[in-house]
Amino acid sequence: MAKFVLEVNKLTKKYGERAAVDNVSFEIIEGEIFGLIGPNGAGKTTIIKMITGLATPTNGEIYIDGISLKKHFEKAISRLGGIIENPDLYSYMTGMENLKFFASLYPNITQEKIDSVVKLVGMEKRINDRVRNYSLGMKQRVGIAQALLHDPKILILDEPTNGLDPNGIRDMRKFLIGLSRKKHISILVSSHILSEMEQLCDTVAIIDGGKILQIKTLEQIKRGLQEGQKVCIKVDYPNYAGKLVILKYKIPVSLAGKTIMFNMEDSKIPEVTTMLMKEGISIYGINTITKTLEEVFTEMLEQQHNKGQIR
Amino acid sequence: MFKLFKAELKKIFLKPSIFVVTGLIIAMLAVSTFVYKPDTRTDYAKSYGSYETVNEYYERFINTEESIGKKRSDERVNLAINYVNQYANGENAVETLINDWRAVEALFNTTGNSDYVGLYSNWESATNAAQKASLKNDLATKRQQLLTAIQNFKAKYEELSSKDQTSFLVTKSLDDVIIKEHFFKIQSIFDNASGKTDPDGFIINELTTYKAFALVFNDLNQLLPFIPAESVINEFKTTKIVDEVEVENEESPIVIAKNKLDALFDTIYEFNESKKLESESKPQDKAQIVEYFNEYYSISNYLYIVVSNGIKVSALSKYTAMNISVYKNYDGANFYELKETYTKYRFLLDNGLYEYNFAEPFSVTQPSNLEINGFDYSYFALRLCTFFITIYVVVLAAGTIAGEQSAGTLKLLAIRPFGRSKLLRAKILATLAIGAILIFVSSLASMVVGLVTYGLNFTNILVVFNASSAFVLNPLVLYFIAMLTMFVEVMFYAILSVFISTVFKSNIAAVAISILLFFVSLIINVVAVNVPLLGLIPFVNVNFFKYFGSSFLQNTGTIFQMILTPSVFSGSTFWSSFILYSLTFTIILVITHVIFKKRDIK
Ligand SMILES: Nc1ncnc2c1ncn2[C@@H]1O[C@H](COP(=O)(O)OP(=O)(O)O)[C@@H](O)[C@H]1O
Ligand SMILES: [Mg+2]
Repeated sequence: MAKFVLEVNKLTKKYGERAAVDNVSFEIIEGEIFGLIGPNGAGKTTIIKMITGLATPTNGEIYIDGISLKKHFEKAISRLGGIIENPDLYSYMTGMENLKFFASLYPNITQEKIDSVVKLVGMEKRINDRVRNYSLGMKQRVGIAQALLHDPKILILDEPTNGLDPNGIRDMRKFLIGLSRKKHISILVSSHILSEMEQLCDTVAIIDGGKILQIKTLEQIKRGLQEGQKVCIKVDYPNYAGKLVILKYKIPVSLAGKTIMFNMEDSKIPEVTTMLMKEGISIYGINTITKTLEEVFTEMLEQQHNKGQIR
Repeated sequence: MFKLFKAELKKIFLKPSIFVVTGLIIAMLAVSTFVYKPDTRTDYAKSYGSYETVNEYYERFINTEESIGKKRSDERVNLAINYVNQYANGENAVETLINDWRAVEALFNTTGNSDYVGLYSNWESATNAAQKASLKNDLATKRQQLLTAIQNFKAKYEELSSKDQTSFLVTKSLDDVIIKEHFFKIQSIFDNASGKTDPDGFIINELTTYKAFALVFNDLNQLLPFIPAESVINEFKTTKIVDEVEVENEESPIVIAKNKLDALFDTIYEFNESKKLESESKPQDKAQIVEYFNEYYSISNYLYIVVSNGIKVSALSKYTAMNISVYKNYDGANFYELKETYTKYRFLLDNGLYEYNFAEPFSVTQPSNLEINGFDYSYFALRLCTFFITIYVVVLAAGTIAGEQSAGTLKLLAIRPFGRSKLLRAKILATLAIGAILIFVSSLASMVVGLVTYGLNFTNILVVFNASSAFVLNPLVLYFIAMLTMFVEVMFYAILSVFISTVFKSNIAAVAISILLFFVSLIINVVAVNVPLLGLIPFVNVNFFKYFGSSFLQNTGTIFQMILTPSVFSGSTFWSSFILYSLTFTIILVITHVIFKKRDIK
C-alpha cells in the first residue's frame, strides 16, 4: 500500500450550526499534484487551514506523512510547507531576510540551501529588495521559497494563481509541475478556476458547500469529457440516417436541418460512418463538439444546487 | 523554543521602529541634561557657627536656646518621655476632652428635649406675666450654660488638635448624628414659632440668641466627625509600642537614647576640659566637637521621631487606611510614610548611626547626596527613558499578536514546528527581552553621561524596604534594583498589551488601552495617593521602587517630579502590591494563553 503523504479523514468544521466543511476525506500520494476546486466560499481555505493547524477541526483526522496532526503537531507540521490565502511576508524585511528568518526556525538550514531555493523560484535578482516593493508574483515566489526551505513532503498552496496574469499563471503551472517531477514533492493546490487546474493536477476534488462532489484523476476527467461529446454528421437523408443510428446503438439522436447529432466517443465514429455508407447514405461532413471542463464543472454544481433546492 | 525566541528577537531589530526608539532614548539623555534640576537636599548635619576655640563651641552648645543646643535636645527627650507617660498612665488630655464632650451632650439632651422642645407650648399655656418671666429666665440660664459648655469644649478641642500628636486619637463617632438631630429639631420649632403671636417679642428674641448660639455650634459641627472615641484610648494604652518605649524597659529606645546621651555628654565634657585652655584650637578638634554636638542633637531628635511616629504607627495600625484618611489632621496621613520614618530612625538610633553619613535613595526630586552625582542624573534619565520604552514595548507587544495576525504573517509562524504555547511564549519573551535590553542600554548610556557630567559618588545609601526593615546599600546595588523595578513596570504593560491584542484581535485597541492605563496610573499616582481604595487597582501597583525608602518624597516637588515619582498608597505594602501584581499578571497570562491556544488563526 502506498503511504499517503496527506490523509484527510471525515473532516468537518462547523461555524456555529453551519458546516463550512462537511465530512471531507481524501488522500494524496507522493509526487501527486492534488487540486481542490470549488467556487468562492466552497470551503477550500477552511480545509487548508485545518490541514496546516491554523484551525481546529470540529471532527475528523488529519495525517501528514502518516503522522497525526492532532497528536504530534510539531512532528507532523514540520513535513509541510505552504502559503495560506495570500503570500504574506514581513514587508519591512528584504526577501532574503524573510527567508533567513523562516530558515532560522528549523534546525540546520544552511545559506546554500536558502540560495538554492531562491534560484529554484527564480528570484535571484530581486531577493535583496524589500518585500514592500515586490509585485504579487514576486511575493508568490518568495512565499513558495519559504515553504520549500525545510524540504517538506507536501506543499500547500491556497489559490496560488489568484491575481496573477495569464503569463504568471502559466509560469506558476510550469514551475509547480517541474517541482513535483524533480523533487517528488506532493502539492495540494486550491483554485476556483477549473481550467487553470486542468493541466496542472493529477487529481482534482470538486468541492462545493463544504462537501466533495467528486474526486477524479486527470484520465478520468478526459474520459468523462469524451463520453460527453456530441458527434454531428451532415448527410443527404437525415431522417433515415437518424433511425439507423437509433436502431443500432439505442441512443437518442436529434436532427437539425441535414445534420444528425448524438453522443458518442471518438473510437466508435468509424463504425457509424461505415454503417451509414453501407446503407447508401452520403456523408458531407463529420464534426465533434466536446464539452469544456468548465461546462462539466458548472453542470455538476448546478445539479448539486438543484438537489439542494429539492431537499 | 529558544530558536523561535531568537528569531523573534532578531525580527524586532529588523523593524525600523527600533531606530526610532533608540533615537528617542538618545534625545532623552540629551534633554535630561537640561531638564534635570532637582531641589537641593537638606543637610542634616547642623552648623554651630565658627569660633576660635573648642570652649567657645562648648559654651554655645550649653547655653543656646536654639534647637541645636543641649537644653532643647534634653527637652526633646523629656517630651518623648512625657508623651509616653501621657498615654501609659491613662489620665490624659484626650480623656478629659471626652468627659467635657459628655457634659455638653448631657446638657443638650435636657435643654434640647425637655426645655426647648416644650418652649412654645409652655409659653402659650403660661397664663400670667410672672409665669412667663420665670420661663424666660429659666431658659436664658440654661441656654447660657449650654453655650458656655460648648465654647469651653471647643476651646479645649482646638488647643488639643493643634498638637499634632493627640489628634490622631480622635475617631469618627456616631454621637454627632444625635446632636445634629437636636439642633435641627429646635431650629424647626423656632421657625414655626416666629409666625405666631409674639406680643412681647420673646420668641423672636430667643430665636436670635439661638441663632448666634447655633453659629458656634455649626462651627463645632466641623469638628464633630472627629469626636474622640473612648475605645481608641483604651485600646491604645495596651499597645505594644507603649510597652516597648516604657521608660523602665531596658530595651526601650528611651533608655538606650538616654544612656547614649549621658555617655556622649561625658565625652563632650572631658574633651572640652582637655582643650579648654587653648587660645586657638586645632581645626580637627573643632570639627570633632561639632561632630559630637551633631550626634547629641541627632540622638535626641531620632528618639522624639521614633516615639511620636511609633505611637502613631501602633495606634493607626488597628485601622484601615480608609479610617485613617478621615481623621482630623490626618486627611493627608499616609500610614506607610509614618512607618517608613519610624523604621528609619529606629534603625539609626538602635545602631548608633547618623543620617548625615548616608545618602538617600534615588529620586527625581532631590539628589541622593548633598551634591548631584552621576547616579542621580542617571536615575532621572532612566525614569524618562522608561516612558518611551514602555510605550515602545506596548506597541511591539500589540503588534506581535494582533499586528501579525492582520498582516497575515502569524499564519506563517503558526505552521512551524512549534505549538501555539511555544509561539506565544517566545513572542512574549522576545518583547520582554527588548524591554530589558533597552532599559539596560539606557541606564548604561545615562550612567556614562552622568559619570562624565557629574562624577559618581559611592556613599552608601540608607534604604528602608517596605517601611519595615532598613539596610545600608551600595548605590550601584540600589541602582540595579531601580533598573529591575522599572523592568517589572514595563513588563506589566507589555503583558497587558499582549493580552488585549490577543483578546480583541486589535492592534490599535491594545496600544490605546495599555498606554491609556499607563498614563492614568501616573495621574492617579499624583492626585490620589491618599485615597486608599485606589491602591487596589492593579495597574497603579506596578512600580516597586517606591518600596525602597523614598516614600517621604512622594507628592513633593513640581507636578513633573510628582509624575515621575511612584507613590505608596496609604494602606499598601510591598507584599500587597506584589501579590496584586503577580495575581493580575498570572491571570492575564493564563487567559491570553488559553485564548491564543484555542483560537483559529484567520
Ligand atoms: N471564521 C469563520 N466564521 C464563520 N464562517 C466562516 C469563517 N471562515 C469561513 N467561514 C465560512 O466558511 C465557508 C467556507 O469559506 P472558505 O473556506 O474561505 O471558502 P473558499 O476558500 O473555498 O473560498 C464560507 O461560507 C465562509 O463564509
Ligand atoms: Mg479561499
